[in-house]
Amino acid sequence: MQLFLQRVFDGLNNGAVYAVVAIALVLIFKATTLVNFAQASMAMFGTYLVWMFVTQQHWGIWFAIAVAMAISAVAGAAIERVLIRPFDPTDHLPLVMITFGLAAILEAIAGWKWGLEFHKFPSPFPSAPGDYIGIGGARLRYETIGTLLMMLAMIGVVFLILNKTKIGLAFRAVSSTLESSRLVGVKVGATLMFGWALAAALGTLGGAMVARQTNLEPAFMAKLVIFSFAAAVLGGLDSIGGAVIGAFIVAMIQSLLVGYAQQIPGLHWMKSNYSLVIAFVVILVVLLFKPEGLFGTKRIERV
Amino acid sequence: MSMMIKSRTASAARSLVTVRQASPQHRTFQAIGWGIFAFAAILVPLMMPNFRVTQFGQAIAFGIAILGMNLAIGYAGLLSLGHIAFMGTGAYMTMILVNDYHWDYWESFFAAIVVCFVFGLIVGLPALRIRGLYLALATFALAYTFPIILKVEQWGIAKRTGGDNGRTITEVLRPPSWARDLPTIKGNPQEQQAAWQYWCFFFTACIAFLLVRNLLKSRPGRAVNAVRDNQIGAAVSGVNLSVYKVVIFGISAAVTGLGGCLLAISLASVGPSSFDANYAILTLMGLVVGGVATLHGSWIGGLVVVFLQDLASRVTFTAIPFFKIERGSPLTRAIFGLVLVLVAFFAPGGLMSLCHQIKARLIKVIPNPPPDADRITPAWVEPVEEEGTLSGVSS
Repeated sequence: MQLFLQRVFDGLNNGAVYAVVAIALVLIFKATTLVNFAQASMAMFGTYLVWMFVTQQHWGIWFAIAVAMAISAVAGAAIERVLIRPFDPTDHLPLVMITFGLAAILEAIAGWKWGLEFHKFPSPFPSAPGDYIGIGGARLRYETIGTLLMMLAMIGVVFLILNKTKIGLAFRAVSSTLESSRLVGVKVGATLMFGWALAAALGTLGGAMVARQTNLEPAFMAKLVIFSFAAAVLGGLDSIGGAVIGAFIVAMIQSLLVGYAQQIPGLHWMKSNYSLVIAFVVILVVLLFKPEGLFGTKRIERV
Repeated sequence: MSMMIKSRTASAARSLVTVRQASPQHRTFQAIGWGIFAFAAILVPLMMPNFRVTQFGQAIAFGIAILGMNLAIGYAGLLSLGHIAFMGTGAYMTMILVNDYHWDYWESFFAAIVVCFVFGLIVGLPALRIRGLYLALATFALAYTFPIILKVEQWGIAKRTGGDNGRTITEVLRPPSWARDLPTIKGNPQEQQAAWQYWCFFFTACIAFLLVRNLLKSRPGRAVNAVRDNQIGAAVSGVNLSVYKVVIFGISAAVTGLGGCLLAISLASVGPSSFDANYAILTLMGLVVGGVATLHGSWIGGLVVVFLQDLASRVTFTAIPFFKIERGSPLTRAIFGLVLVLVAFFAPGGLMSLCHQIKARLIKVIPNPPPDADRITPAWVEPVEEEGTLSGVSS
């Protein structure tokens, strides 16, 4: 029971982080039906900025996160304007080339500027060995609670922006029908820039929350983003709520399956290093049997 | 009408020679062109130092792999980012069959092709349900997962694949005794071996390219193109979408797997780091630089993959005075990303479209009408009107 609870808590922790990144992916997918393969690298870059502000400028961690998020937002908007907008959104190959290329460039710059070695990252939440609540012998760490609260707050903010502000309305219009919203006078370009800015800022926030647990290196977000892809696909690529639920399902599967693999015949090999296999299987199974995901909009192809 | 004729003569004047398609002159030019290419390609081992010959061999291996990717991405429009896993499967098949079962290299090729074909069919199955970026996403996850699966310590996987470090191939592709006496192969055994390996690769690549070319020019090839350009139209015209999509994905996986076999021989050791997501980006770069949906762009792609990597790892860039990139700096990896972005912006046709432009300046080929063009006159074609009537205005 204690072990089970501990694994559930670990799952909650991972789920919250996957959810943050998955929301960023879903935002961009909703707006442009584009899967952003550079999301991991953008978040990684933002997290390095936080690290640099904290260790070199000695800023407070939350202030550093806020500044890095603002910088990421500007950079995200610029990326949309300069690299994404010139291309036809229905022609996928150039967009994949651009986002892939961007990922390679950002990773190379980070490796050159900050080195390929692991850096310790300051925790935004109390993370001393004694900072936990004991429940049934299991440890619910303050970090986990903090990450969960942060995620909830973020969902709230995204929800408010999308549903209560004018630009949120424009964003929903664009993600619903691009042509019609252009006809009724929505500034499509500005709205898409806003979507990218929001996604980039969220990516940085997610990176900053997870970096203490994984340590910081140029590829630290890549593995995580595969899980977030799995979460987004499971929840339906165009549903923010679905992405959050998908994130927790994927994280729970990962945590419990890796935890209990020793007891399951034929799964002895499943260690945490191999947990990416779970994400791949989730992506493949969902896309095969229910491509619209649990909560996504079913796409009807007219023939 | 006169405008049209003028423009035609103008374009003819810009090129050096004008020939009719399939005329003896055209055939002569083609033969000369291919002759020069084959001559240069065959002479590589006699003109270069040994390590360059090996690099050209690797370029051929990557070229075949990119040919396979081209088949799926360029010709069938199935956006796959996971072909590096098929390449890895081919390489591992060759390594394991040669090392553990003492097969000949040639035999392992066939086994690898069959296994990669089946693997491709399985991965291609989602392509029936999902399109475009969804498929890209699933195959991207495959590219990330493949190196991890190789390290799983169950069912003897890690023992066979060598886990993290990979394994060296114990057998060497030695030239047979008759080839050692050929007047062209001189020098020490290493040079003999490198040259023989290179020629074997070139021969294999020629067969692969010929087969793929014939496939694309055949009825199934046209059907595949139709599926890419207009799925519904293709289905209405009687193309079985599901069969064509899955089978073309399987064939493309098999071709890419063959490229992996050659790469395994060339590297002489196979490890997971040669088939990770970085190489997925690298081969995609080769594909787009060579030219998407161009057959011979794949040769260029292979050369670009190998020699750009070589350049990035050996050269110190001092192009900009105050900004020097040291040799081996992580920043050199940015080149590959930069090339991807620049190609997307400025050269969507790749280098092959540049080659076509140059060729058009030199030789103009006037296409022949189809053999029965005068016999078949579609009912909806209106008879040509006299000059000065209303319909003449539109032209």
